[in-house]
Amino acid sequence: MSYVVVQNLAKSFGDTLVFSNINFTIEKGEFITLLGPSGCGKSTLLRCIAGLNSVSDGHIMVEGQEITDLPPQKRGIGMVFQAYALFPNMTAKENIAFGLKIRGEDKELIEKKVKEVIEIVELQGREDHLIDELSGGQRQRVALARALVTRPRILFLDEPLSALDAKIRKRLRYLIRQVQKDMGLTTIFVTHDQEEAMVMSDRIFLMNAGNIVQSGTPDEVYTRPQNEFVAGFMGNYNIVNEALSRDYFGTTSGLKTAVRPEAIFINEKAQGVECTEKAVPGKIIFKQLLGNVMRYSVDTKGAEFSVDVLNSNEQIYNEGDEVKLYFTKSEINELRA
Amino acid sequence: MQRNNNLLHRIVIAVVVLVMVLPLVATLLYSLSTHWGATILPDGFTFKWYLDLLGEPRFLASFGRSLLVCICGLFLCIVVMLPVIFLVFLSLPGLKKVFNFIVVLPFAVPPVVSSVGLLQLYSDGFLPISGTFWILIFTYFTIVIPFVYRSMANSFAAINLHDLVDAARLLGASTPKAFFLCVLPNLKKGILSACFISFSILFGEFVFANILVGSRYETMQIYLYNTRSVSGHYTSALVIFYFAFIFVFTLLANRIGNKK
Repeated sequence: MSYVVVQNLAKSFGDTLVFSNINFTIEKGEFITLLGPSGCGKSTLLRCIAGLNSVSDGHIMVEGQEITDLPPQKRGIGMVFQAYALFPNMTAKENIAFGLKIRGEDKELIEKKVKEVIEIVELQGREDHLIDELSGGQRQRVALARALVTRPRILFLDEPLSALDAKIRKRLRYLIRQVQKDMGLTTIFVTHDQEEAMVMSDRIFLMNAGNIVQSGTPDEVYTRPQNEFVAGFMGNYNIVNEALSRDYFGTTSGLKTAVRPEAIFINEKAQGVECTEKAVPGKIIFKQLLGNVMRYSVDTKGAEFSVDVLNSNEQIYNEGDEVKLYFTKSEINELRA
Repeated sequence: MQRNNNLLHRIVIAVVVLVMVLPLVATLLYSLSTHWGATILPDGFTFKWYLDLLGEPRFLASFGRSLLVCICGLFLCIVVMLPVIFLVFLSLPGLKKVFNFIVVLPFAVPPVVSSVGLLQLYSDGFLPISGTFWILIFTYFTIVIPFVYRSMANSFAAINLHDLVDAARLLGASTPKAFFLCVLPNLKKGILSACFISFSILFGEFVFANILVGSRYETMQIYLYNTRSVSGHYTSALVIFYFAFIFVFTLLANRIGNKK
């Protein structure tokens, strides 16, 4: 049996259904991400599993034990909140020690455990500061340490990085993943940032309007979107309608298709890559430098394609250039309606 | 033009300050004077009236009664309102509107009208406490509800209440423990400022005290009223004493309010 089992979970607030029929399992030590746009129900789902919200229907099991109706303090869950939720009346150290003190653990043991976890999150020298005296990144480290020190059965991360600036976010991403792997912690991460989800997760559960619309490894979800929403959310996919898909790619299913911008080549096919037979003529209408990548918008009279080309001196096109597009055959994804 | 404007502003402010301070200075001078009749300044100065005041057992008793009734009324209000506001903000946010309406009521009904109602309510029936110390406590409880509620509601709104309680519960604390260990310490400023404002208001309260208990439970304000004809110098000393006492409280409230 899997470490965490969520069966037919449903939640509604009055007449408003937040999510229904949620089913998934998580293995011990796995890092999974609930990914989706704002309002899709991912945070509510997390809160329901944590016991902070009641569920309307369904079951939650951890290590074979039903926890659906247990109060939060008895579920063995550690949580890091988006807005830190640190206790302002306590120092960093007191915040971290809070869970252990509540459990009535021995004072010396608390001291030892707190010291250990402070080293893990690299907070040495800041432990005696009040929360107001710490930066956003340091606060989130305290929050992480506070959640880790009690050795929870599952670690919940509710958009913990979204209030931080890009540089600190990247550092903390790495730290969280490293700590999670070292401690073998089963972790559920909630985010609306697909890049964050791809970098950190073993598996992604992509949610939309209260449903899990696709799940799999980051590679599977990114390269094989099953529907238009996933294709739109996970990357800058080009969505091609049924008629053009038939014309350009020779598909026969009568479904829309999605092609990643980096799976399209301009004027010449890449070596060793099997491309579609037809070269689609088009005109470059816009180009945009994204650092190491140059993004071209190509109008083919039927559709507009985004094409990403590695930024090198050899292949530079200008707006107005007439070009031919070649599509990687294996990267043409037929989308379910 | 700018200079003229500045001068005008200063004159307006000086006039306002003068209007406010002059009666107080006059009262202070009168309380320190041996005799002040038909002259611009008193004939002489003395601390006699203050010494008389502080040596008068009836005054000290009334001061003690005022302190007691104010502290008890305020304590009752805080003890009752704190958990109520906590629950409203945590679980029943829909009731905030109801509370916003309720807290205006003590202002909407004039004290003379509500004291008649309170006298009728407490004269007989299940709680016959009319004319006693207890009726003042329950009345003062209602008077300070708006100040206590507003001050505490602001404090609750300023902290991330839901996340703090959720975090504490996930770490193993029950809701009451979460309240006492993680929420209450962060409301300290709000509670203290509510106490000081409410105390200052209750300490100067006269109408309810006079109508509901009168001389049967002589508070400082009733004592002031009863001794108004004894000596102008003496009552002036009492007024200045009262003013100084409240002034210290206001200063403390400001200090606490501004403290980071």
